[in-house]
Amino acid sequence: MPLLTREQVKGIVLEALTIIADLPDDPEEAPFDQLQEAHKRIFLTALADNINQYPYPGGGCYYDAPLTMDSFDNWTIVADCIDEVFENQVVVCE
Amino acid sequence: MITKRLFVLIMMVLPHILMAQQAEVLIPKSIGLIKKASNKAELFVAITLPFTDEKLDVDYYRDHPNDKPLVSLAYKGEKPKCLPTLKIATGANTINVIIGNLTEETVDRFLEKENGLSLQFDTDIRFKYGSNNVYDRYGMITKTEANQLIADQLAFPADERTKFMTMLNTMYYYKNKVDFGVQPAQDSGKVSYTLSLDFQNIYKKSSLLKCETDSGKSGIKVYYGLSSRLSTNAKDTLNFLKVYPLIFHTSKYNSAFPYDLDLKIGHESNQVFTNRRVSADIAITTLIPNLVDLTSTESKRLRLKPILGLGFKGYYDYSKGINAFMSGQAYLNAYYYIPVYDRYAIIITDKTFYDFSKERNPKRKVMSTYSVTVGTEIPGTSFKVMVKYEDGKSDINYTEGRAVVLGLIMNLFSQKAK
Repeated sequence: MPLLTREQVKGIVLEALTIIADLPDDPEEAPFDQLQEAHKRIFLTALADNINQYPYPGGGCYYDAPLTMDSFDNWTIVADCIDEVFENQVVVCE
Repeated sequence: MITKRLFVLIMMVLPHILMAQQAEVLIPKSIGLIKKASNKAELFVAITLPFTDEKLDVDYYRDHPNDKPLVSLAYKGEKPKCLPTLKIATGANTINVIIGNLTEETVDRFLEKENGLSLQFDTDIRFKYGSNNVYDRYGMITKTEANQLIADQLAFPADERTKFMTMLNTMYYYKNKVDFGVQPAQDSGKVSYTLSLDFQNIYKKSSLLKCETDSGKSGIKVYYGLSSRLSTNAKDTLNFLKVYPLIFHTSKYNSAFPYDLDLKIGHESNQVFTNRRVSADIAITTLIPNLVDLTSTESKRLRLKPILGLGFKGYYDYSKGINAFMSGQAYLNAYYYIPVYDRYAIIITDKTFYDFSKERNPKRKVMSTYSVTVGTEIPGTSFKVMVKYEDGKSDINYTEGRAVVLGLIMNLFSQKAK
């Protein structure tokens, strides 16, 4: 069952988030509404790269998730971002 | 020998024959077109299966590549100049075709009736699925069913194409915002109203998408833009109007040093055009580590890293009442949002600059203009009540200005949907 667990997705999201911000102890509840465009673009690119590069068990495939700058409109708190990636992830086997 | 080969052949074919007999033919729940505009620009055609608790075996196409559905792009009229790539992806309950290597032509023609490009399945969609991590059932969607679904329910109307291109544009360059404010009367003066505006747009949207085979095409995108602070008090020394007919922009976000690099060519003036110049301005913008922490230990807020820009501007100054001259400015821009405890915030913006001209900077001083905004959010809204203090010398008229502005900050272009 190699779809990412929510805990794995959380790790991927927080790793990307640390590029643009220092995180509180409970980052899942952190509001997502003060990001400037530069923060959003850097975070989104890092997040998409991290998803693609996350090692797939056994190899031969990679993870992906369709995200855009509009995705931020759906994310009130960091947990919303984690949930969206978790629910919309796909596996591409080449 | 022949018997042995026949045995091997039968063993290879048998699972497929058995699967074809066992596979349950399912009717898809829905089909949709999902956009991706982040590290890549792609379109996902997602077929959702009629599952309740079941999930797809996402390893199935890796372990059984021969069962991976074949898809192709059919086109009416001319062959597309740049052929898109097609990949099959599996989600928990979706089979997706990811269309990549997009160009403006592909986006414009995709699913169009005239001269259009359409997606078609050339084989049935076979998959394995199950519940509770036990994948013991085989399913199938016939290619006839899938292609009928694409023909009947998949659409990419003009407004969605525009939305997709806008998503790509915002991924590269997007600083559009409008702020309104009220400036209280000072001494015997009148109350004045201020409008701060930043707006940019791209000239050629085709530059947002690049064919992978088109290696000679530059990653530089060309925009036009306007930046201003206007006031009902036209003589306010902090006012400015900057018009840039040419902005060359490039960026790299997926590196240890993410940055934006901009070259702006245009005209800068104060509101009444007594100070004016033609300028060429190059700047690099990046993030730097946080400098302070004013949150409490229980705070749940992100401490966003400050945005720092370094630049150099060459200009031809032909202001009213002076002999025109050429010179330059080195400058530093900063934006820092500092969360304070749980609900308050301080926003610091700064432009520190050094002008090389003896006409504008006879004392050879480093000058700056800055603002400090202290505010609090109105719960449940996108509004922020704030008091903004602006001070310093404008980099256009070099005159000391100071203002306290009361008002609402309202980012009209990036409000959250509530």
